Amino acid sequence: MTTKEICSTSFDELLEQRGIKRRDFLKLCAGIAATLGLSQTMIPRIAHALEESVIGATSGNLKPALWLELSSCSGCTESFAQSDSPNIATVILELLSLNYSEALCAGAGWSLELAKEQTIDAGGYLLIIEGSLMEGWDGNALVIAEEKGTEIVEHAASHADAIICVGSCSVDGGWQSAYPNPSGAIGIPLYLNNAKAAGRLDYDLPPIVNLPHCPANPEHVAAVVVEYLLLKRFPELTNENKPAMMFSQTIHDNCPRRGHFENGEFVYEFGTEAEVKRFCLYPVGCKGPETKSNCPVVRWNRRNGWCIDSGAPCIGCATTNPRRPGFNWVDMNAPFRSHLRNVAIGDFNIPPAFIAYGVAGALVLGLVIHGFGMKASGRLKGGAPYERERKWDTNHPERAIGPAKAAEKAAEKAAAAKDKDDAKSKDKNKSKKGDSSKKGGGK
Amino acid sequence: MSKVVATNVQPELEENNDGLEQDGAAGAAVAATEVPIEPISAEIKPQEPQGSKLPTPSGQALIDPVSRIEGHLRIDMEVKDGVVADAWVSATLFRGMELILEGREPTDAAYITQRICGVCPVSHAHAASMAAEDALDIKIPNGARLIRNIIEGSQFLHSHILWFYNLAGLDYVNPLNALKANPKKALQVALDAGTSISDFGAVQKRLEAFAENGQLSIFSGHWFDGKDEAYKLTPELDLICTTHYLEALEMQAVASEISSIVGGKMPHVMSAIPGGSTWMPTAQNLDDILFRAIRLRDWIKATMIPDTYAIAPFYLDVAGYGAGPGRYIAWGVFNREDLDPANRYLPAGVWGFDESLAAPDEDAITEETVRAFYKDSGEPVNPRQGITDPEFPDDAYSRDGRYSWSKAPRYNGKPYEAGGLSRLLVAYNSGNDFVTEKIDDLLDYLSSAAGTKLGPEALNSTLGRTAARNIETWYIAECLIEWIGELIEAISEGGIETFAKATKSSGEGTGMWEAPRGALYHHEKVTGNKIDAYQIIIPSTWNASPRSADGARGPMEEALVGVPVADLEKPIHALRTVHSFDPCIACAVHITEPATGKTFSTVTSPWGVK
Repeated sequence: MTTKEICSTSFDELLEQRGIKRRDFLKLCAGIAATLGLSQTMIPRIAHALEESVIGATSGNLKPALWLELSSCSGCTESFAQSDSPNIATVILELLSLNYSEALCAGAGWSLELAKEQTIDAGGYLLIIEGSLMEGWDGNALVIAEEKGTEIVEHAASHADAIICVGSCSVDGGWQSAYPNPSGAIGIPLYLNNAKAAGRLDYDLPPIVNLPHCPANPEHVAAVVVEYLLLKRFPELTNENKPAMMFSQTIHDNCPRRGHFENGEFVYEFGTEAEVKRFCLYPVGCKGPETKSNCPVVRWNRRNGWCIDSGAPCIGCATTNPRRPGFNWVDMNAPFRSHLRNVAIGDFNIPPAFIAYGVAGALVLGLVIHGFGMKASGRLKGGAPYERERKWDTNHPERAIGPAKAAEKAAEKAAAAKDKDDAKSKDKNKSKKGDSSKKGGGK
Repeated sequence: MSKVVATNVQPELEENNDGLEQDGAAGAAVAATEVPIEPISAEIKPQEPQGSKLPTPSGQALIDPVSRIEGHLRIDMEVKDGVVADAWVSATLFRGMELILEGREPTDAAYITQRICGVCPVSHAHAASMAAEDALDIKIPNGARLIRNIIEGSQFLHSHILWFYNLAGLDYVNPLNALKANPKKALQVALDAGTSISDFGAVQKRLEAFAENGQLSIFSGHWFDGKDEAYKLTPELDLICTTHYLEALEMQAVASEISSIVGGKMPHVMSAIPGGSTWMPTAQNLDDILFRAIRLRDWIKATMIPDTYAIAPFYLDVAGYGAGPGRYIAWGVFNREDLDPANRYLPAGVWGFDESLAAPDEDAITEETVRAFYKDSGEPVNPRQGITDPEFPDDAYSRDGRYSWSKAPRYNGKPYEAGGLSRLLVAYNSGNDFVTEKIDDLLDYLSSAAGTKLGPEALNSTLGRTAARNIETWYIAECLIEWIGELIEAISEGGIETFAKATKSSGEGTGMWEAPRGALYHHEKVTGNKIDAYQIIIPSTWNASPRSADGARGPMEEALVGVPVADLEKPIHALRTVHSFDPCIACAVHITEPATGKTFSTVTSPWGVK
């Protein structure tokens, strides 16, 4: 029997399939109550718990939640487990009924899939998604319980109250979608939007909150979940569906080393005195100025550290573009130790230095050619008039501007030459009368 | 709501702890301490097992997905008369890390490879850095060595604590059964077992409130009621261990705090790069990490180790199955000043119950793809020459065909097991005093509980793998304090160097290191500070490997054969056996080289990848 077969049935069908009558089932519940040492009054409640409880929509105070791990490293679950207010024990016992989490759930295999299935059927749950989807090999790059990751998400999103995409992989594919994206990684929001546009989804997409970072910052996840439980709403979002409170300012804006940046005090080499003094890491590649997140404020691991505190320049792991998988943080920010990236055009991969020398070289070459051209055209001596002489200027030299000045000069020169000529011609006239009249006419 | 978690009173072990705290503060050598375990008291003696009454079904048992691991794993088993006759372990995710690394810088690789696994990122950062250092002839300064040991050690503690209590723990502990416990009696049981006591009553009340609410949360679809009747702890011990489950959630975070102070954040630390570390400790940092390390060590000694001893007698049957191939590899972890792999705190070595200890040989490693989703290259190849081309077959996941994204690494053509047990057995056979003493103590204890003399072969089992990892946790906790002491001493004597620059930009190098889950191998070819080729072999690729061409099962498949199954739908013993390997499947699935003749260049276009 495959997991899928088991999971696709309703609870009653499932009992029937296994040859269990409903009465036997209630008996079983009585047995469990006895095993647990609970009073008889608890029996219906336990029956309800086993039958419906995973659903949680009809009873219980906990908000049902599914934590899907898709193509992930489990780092976001790990990260969330570091949260301290609330801590993970409080979350799973007193805030959320975490009915499906591959990392934490006691069950495994079909019974875990069943819990997920029932939760989806009941609806009204929070869908938390870690990791990206894989479209490679027609979705076969990611298969869980004989179901492709893409199908799992399309199904799980159907009755969700909201989707929280934790971590950069989930938001836009993350590092897995970095070139050459060998497995066809894609972020959840883009995938679902594409599926909706292609008419594969027969439901309206629930609201999506994106929480980038690699891994997701536990403070961010806890804040969004708890705010949703307490205030029954999500925080204000940016146009990329990221909470505006968290992702509106750059890391540079709030960096404790910002003062050293203003003073021009920098770390140029790791392991030096400058690092002991906690100078600014910009020259060693810090992506703080272009990465938007409040991690200098919330920090990491119960506020005990954050990247720049450990002398490591920001690598911009919160850089995302949920609409464009190619804009993942690795492709946007690597090489992490430099500020300029290679530019790829087609199959050519051009380093920034090449482009800089290329542009500078082309400029110099252009100027040299221009110079030769100038020389060849004889414009170097006095240059060419950059504006054509206008008739009006010529006719009104006393009121002329621009080229008219030249005309003026020409006129003055002509006048001076005339005077000279006149003087000469007077002299010449004295000797040769016929010649002077010919010259004067030529002018 | 969670006040209970914070209170952790340990009156019985106070004097023990005091002495050790001073040791730690002074940065003294690992203190060889007596085992704080009393003989099992009458009250917690396990009941007789009722194995004979259990059903013995035949048929297919399938666990898909396996929960409480990292990544996605599918276990397919053929059960015959209540015992697993054959098993197929499938990794069901492909990501292609190596392809993404090509054309990038070695420093970038240290950051990107970490993202392969959220549980052991530090090990990947270190192995990637070591590969780059080997390729570019960098020798890291002593300060960097200590910093790496500290951050690696705290990651091991984090991983092992989380694994024992929060991942594997629910295979042995039934928190719902703790509702039946008498807190007063639990207190006495805890004192008798020498484990730490806490406000058990408050924890029970918290569980009651949880149960009354009626929603099962993470216990949805649990296997506590399987026909195997495999949960054997008394309600009192269940209550104690549930309390410690909650404490462990706290302590794994404390371990990560050390990683975070040294490495910026955890998971995915930032300060580990080729050449050393970017972190320059301040005085404030030093006391922050020292006292967290002491707190962890004290908790492990007072809680984790006694818990292991207290529940082991109930689960002696678990020592009777789960035997792997009996051959072990460890590349070694935690450098001493000479950076010699054979001299590491947990040394490098290859050992088997019928093989003597040998130094690892990179040339002996081969990988096969005959049963994996890759075009088969025909014969086993060394990862340095590996040619692999992913290909998803039509009959995927069939028992006779290809069934995994994981390749099949072999050493000298044979499957080897990697992990905590491998490291400890290599250390045991290389004469590590602490490990030898603790392993002997454990074997003595198990022998007295079982009533027969047990040798080291008993460790080749699900129980052995589990217990060995906990002993390792203790050892690393003691070492961690030692390293922090050394660092403090070095700083007080005039400062440390933490970073060495590369003097060349091309070369080829290997980093052989250990992740918490076992032997980790990174190899890279660098030209002009750009990576031409990158290869990774991950511990779980060794353990969860599919069959090789000769039909030899992977270690996890081997261990599953012979595991009792009374309930085809909830094969709990099989789940225990899988968990004992602490599999990390997201790591294990990757490919080692692009298709023949195909090259890739990094595209970091501002217009995105087209």
